[in-house]
Amino acid sequence: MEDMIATIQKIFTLENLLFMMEGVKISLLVAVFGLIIGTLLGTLAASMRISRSKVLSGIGRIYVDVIRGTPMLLQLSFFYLGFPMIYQMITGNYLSVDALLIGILAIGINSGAYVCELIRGAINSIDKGQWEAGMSLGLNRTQILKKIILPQSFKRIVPPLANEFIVLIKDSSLISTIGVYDLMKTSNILGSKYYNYFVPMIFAGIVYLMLTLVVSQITSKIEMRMAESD
Amino acid sequence: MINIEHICKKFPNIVALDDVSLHIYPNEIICLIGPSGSGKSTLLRSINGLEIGDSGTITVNGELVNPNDEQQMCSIRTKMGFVFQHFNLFPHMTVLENMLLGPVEVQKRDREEVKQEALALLERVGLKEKANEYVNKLSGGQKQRVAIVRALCMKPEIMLFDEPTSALDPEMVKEVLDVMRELAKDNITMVIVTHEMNFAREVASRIIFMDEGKIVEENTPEEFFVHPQQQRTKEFLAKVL
Ligand SMILES: Nc1ncnc2c1ncn2[C@@H]1O[C@H](COP(=O)(O)OP(=O)(O)OP(=O)(O)O)[C@@H](O)[C@H]1O
Ligand SMILES: [Mg+2]
Repeated sequence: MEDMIATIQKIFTLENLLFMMEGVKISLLVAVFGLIIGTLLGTLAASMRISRSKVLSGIGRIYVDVIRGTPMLLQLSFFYLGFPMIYQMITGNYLSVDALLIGILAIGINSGAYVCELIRGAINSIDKGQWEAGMSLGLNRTQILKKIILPQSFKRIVPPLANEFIVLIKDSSLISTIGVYDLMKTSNILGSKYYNYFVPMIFAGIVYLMLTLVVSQITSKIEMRMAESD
Repeated sequence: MINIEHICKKFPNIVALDDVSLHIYPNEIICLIGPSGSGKSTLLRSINGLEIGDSGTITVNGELVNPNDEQQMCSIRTKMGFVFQHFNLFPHMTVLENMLLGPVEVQKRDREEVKQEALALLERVGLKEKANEYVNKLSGGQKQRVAIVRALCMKPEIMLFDEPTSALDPEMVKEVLDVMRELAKDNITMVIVTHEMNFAREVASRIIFMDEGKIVEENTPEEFFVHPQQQRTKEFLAKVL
């Protein structure tokens, strides 16, 4: 027990704490930008999937299926290692990639597939009668989507999108595998430095937990607000 | 005005419309009655293309309807008001916004002008003070009256009603039927699917009785209710009257 306390005191120096806080920043950065890219890509993919063009909806579908059907870790490695290799094979030039940038991009592309499906889910959850009422007024498909369906879907997109953000906070830890100094990586480094993985890992876990709890608290507040305005 | 010729419509398990032909003339009030599942809704919805028949043709004012031509479908639908059993009002809009959407967005009419007309219509159905309420705050009867004036705001040539009072509490049925009686007095062309036999008898110029996807009998209300010709009609009337 005394050993333990001594180790804790050794590990939790101001310097080490600041080091891990940098990691927290990176983790949040990845999650936030991952979500932004994911939302943009997801919106694009969803509009493709619900479009009447077979080609567009086919492309959207392949994107979603491939991303959701393969491990995120594999996608990350593909963008970090595989993509530069392909680039070199084609152009003959060496491509140096920034791990953080590629990580954010890969996570955003991954998230886009899930966001696409949750947008589609929200749109499909709107009562068929709303479409019919729009049609009966002579509105075309685009007008119905824009004026009737999307404004109602929006409310139903917010909660699952917040959930997606929580998933990204946790899954951002995968970028530690390509050498980005996020919360996971910094706690690993401290672990190997002090030959004690347990303490930094617990600390990282608590920080992840706090972050996700804060997000879900904020979300349920927003949800309550929105329910009131109904 | 509207000619439906030999329309058939199959759903996976059932033939909903079996070679139905119907001609609708200006200023007519047709009441469609029949047992549940007889194809009344399907027929009514085919008139404005919410349901597309597997075969048969529909002409509106001499123009053949092509269900694959979205532009034509939209322009034809602006000539027809449709009132749904479950209202289908837009919950994210106020009463007035519900009414303005079609005229402003589709017919590109002047917003202010339509607004004045909409308010006048609301006044006629006794809902002027609800103009800026969100529709979820209204009772069922109020919702259906809004749905009716929303359709009227498009200045349609014909109004189609699919069981407009079936989802209402009994005490609200009358307020909706009264609005429809007013429309009947104004000689607006209407096709009404209803289970309100007394109302049908009172306003209809023609009653059409459907069963199992077919038109079994049609006649003036007096003849229809007093001297039904077909056995199935008699059985149906014995049950509902
Ligand atoms: N979208 C659909 N998919 C499958 N079957 C359907 C669909 N719409 C209607 N049907 C079937 O077609 C038949 C005719 O339906 P329809 O709604 O036209 O009857 P109805 O006369 O309006 O009955 P009700 O008085 O109950 O409204 C019914 O058996 C119904 O189950
Ligand atoms: Mg019906």
